[in-house]
Amino acid sequence: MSGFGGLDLFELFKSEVETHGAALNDGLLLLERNMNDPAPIAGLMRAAHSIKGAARVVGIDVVVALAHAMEDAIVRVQKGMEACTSMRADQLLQATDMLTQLVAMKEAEVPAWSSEKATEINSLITALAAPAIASAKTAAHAAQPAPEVAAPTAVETEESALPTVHATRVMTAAQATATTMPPRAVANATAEATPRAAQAPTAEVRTVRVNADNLDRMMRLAGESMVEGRRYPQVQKGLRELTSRVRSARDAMDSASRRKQAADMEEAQRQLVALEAALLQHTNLLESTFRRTEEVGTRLYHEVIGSRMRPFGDATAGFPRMVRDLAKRLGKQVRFDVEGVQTPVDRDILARLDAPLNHILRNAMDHGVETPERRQSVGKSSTALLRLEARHHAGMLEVRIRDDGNGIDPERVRTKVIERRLQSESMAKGLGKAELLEFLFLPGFSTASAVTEVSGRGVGLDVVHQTMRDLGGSVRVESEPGRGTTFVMSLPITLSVIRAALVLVSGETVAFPLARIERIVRTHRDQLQRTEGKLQFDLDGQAIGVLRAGELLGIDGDTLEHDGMVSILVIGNEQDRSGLLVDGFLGERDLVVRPIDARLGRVAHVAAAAIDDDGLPLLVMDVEDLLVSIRRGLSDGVLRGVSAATLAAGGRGRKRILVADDSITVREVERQMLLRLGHDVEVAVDGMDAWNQLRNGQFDMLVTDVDMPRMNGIELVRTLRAEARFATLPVAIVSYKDRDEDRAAGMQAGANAYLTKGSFQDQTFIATINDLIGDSVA
Amino acid sequence: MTESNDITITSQAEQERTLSKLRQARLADSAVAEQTMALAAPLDRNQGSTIPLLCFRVAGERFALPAASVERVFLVAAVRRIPHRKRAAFRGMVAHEGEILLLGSFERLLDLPTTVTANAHEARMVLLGPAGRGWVFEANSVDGVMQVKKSDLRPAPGTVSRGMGSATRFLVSLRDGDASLLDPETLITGWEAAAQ
Repeated sequence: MSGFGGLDLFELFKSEVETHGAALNDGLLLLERNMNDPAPIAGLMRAAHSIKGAARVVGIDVVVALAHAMEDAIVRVQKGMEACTSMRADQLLQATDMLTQLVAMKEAEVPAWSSEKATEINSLITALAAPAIASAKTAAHAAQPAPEVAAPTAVETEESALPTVHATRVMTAAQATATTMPPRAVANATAEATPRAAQAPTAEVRTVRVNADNLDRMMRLAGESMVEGRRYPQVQKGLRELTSRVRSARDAMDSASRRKQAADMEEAQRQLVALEAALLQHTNLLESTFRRTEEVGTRLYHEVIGSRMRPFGDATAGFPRMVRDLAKRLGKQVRFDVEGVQTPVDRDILARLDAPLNHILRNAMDHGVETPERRQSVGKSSTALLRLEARHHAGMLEVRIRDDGNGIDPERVRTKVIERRLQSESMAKGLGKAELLEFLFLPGFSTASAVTEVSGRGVGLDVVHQTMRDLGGSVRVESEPGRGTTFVMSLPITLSVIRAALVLVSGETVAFPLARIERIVRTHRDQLQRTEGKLQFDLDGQAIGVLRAGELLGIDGDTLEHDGMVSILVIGNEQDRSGLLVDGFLGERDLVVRPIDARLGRVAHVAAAAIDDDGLPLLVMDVEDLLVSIRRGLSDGVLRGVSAATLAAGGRGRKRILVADDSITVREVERQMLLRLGHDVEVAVDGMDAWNQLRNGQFDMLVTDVDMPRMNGIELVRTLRAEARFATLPVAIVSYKDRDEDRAAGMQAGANAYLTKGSFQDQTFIATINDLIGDSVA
Repeated sequence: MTESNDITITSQAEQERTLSKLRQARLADSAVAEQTMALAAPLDRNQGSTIPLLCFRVAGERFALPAASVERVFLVAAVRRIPHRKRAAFRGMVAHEGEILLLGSFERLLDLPTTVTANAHEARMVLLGPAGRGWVFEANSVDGVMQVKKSDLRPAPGTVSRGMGSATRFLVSLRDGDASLLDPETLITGWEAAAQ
């Protein structure tokens, strides 16, 4: 679309609507709370006026007309011509909702939206233009939940002075621009607008808001950085001059030493002293230049990280309105306070907070807060207090949602736990209050006696819990029956920077988020105990089994022991911990994380990438995913605990085997059997695929079928035996063909063993593998 | 001879841009002289009749890529392996100028011997391909950018060009022997498959 200085006008318009829409919502709620307070009116007028102006620039006439009607209505309130009644506030809030629908739209969708909403918008304009008292039916619509835009009103009002808006008058910004452009420019603008509309789903430009002060500081620092960079040529020039003077001094010394004249020697010494002083001066200059460069770089880095932060208030703008609408609908009186709106929060976390907060607030309104009558009967104020707070605490973002309503009765939770057989009765009776409240976060768990439209049937708190975990945080609930409930969310302040432990696994440096590590243990191998041959150690009275991190990550080459000492990373939770045997620990670092290259697809056990202090890339591990793999791998037999033999062998012993078979069933049977033997297995779907993999990979053995498309097993074995590097590769043919001539053909081609598929039934297959490549040391 | 679309360089400006992109490569004096002459040559000689190629050596063989397909040449950086990615044609990732780049094995992809030991001082990393689809490979040495007459391109023998996985499109006669002119897209596609 038409742009300005590289900016997308429609994006700017949306940004304005979002900002001023929030101001309208806030101001109207304030005005409604205290009709005698004129303070919010000026802000409301400014907001409506700004939206009108912005809409005119991008040429959305329906929005111009609606914002104009809002502005007029607010002016009448300002001039005392009418009061801002609840009904008028409802109309203005409906109009605000209508305008803010644009925020989620693409430019190409605007004409259709305008057509669809024309009648509704006209009704709103008519209602806003009419005296407040005449719009009784419109007021009824205000009781609808906020996201649902009011249906067209059928209000009979006097003729509006404003022109009726027709959908056909709606123009896109490009069309609007065209009206003031010379013909050639019009052609360009149209040509530009047309394909963009066609490609609307993919051509969206992502823009982010950055605090202007923050941007100014970044620009200053970038300028400073450039100036610092320009000092280096000066330093370099000075060093060259010094080199030349050193050469002269050396020549003078040589000459003086040849001529053995005291005066020459003194002159040479003077030169050396001067050189020493100059060197010292240069060293100081270099030091100060380095120091300044590092300082500017660090400040710039912090500013860039800071630019990702947004005030908490950005996520809460819609909540006062939601609470107000819900209160009306449920017949409750609620005072809703938001504290800590300026608390900086990472924009990615902020985006994910909306759904959990929305859910908990709706829950509180529906189940927590009592009706005014009920509150009065128990001696409480008829108006309930609902409070949303955000603050930084102990290096984390803490968000609290507190109500002074019913509270949660732990005994009802206990009853539900027993009813749903989540714990035995005797166990459930022994659970404390905090333990019982944890059950609220289980999927589908609810103590509510009725399912309501507002907060559902308890589905959702598990999603809140999961969202917190995904973000690297946690949620807990505190409650006093009769006095209220508080949900406490604890989250990292930013997702861009994580504190991580750098760990060496099979010679590769990988990062584990510190928040996900239970313990880092370095101990002597003698401290490890054996259970069924597998190693384990004691941590706080709990036996922790040990697995090889290299095996889990599929990276070969681990060195598990250094001078008898082993390094173990403990991950998991109190109920289920595992120890990962790693090569060593390299310390802690703050890492700026970034997504891994999309071309790699999903990489198991990897959450993100980063660059370390030395400028080298490294991967950040996904501990949750590792834990899932550990649980699954152990039960499938694919993973095994580390034995003393493995430790002694330094982790070596696993072999990499290629299985080639065109039958997925046979491939899978063979793969599973070989995995259980402790080997790594790759599969190929035919002989050609196997040949390509063998050429491009490193394998310790080939297990192949005979009858396969493109290249059969006999051809495959002949082809690879023709190459020197595959001359000694162990090959086992496994086929349904069991005639002697088939066996002879396989062996003549170069196979080391020829088995029939019946060998899966007895131990022949396993024994043959062990014969050919040896037993793995798992 | 059939001309391939992917080695057509259309303008002098494009050649200059390409050369500028490759400024990080430490070129031999002879290569610099050759390029200087090529750039100083009258337009009618260069225009459309020659193409700039980045020439390099891997596993004792000489190869060339259209210079326009090469984004950067830089000193060898440390390689990090990626979990669960074991195909030999995929080596892992490297970082350069704050970017994390994927690294493919040239030798493994083209089935070349891996026993040739490179001189550590001469080895370079080459970033091939457009932004977002770039792949890095390690060359034993980079000879530089050379202007080659299109008429000097010869078809590769069928045993090579028709071979599965071959990336050679033409043979190029250089002063001291032939080089295989490679198709960048074939290399990139091969590495992408290996990374999955």
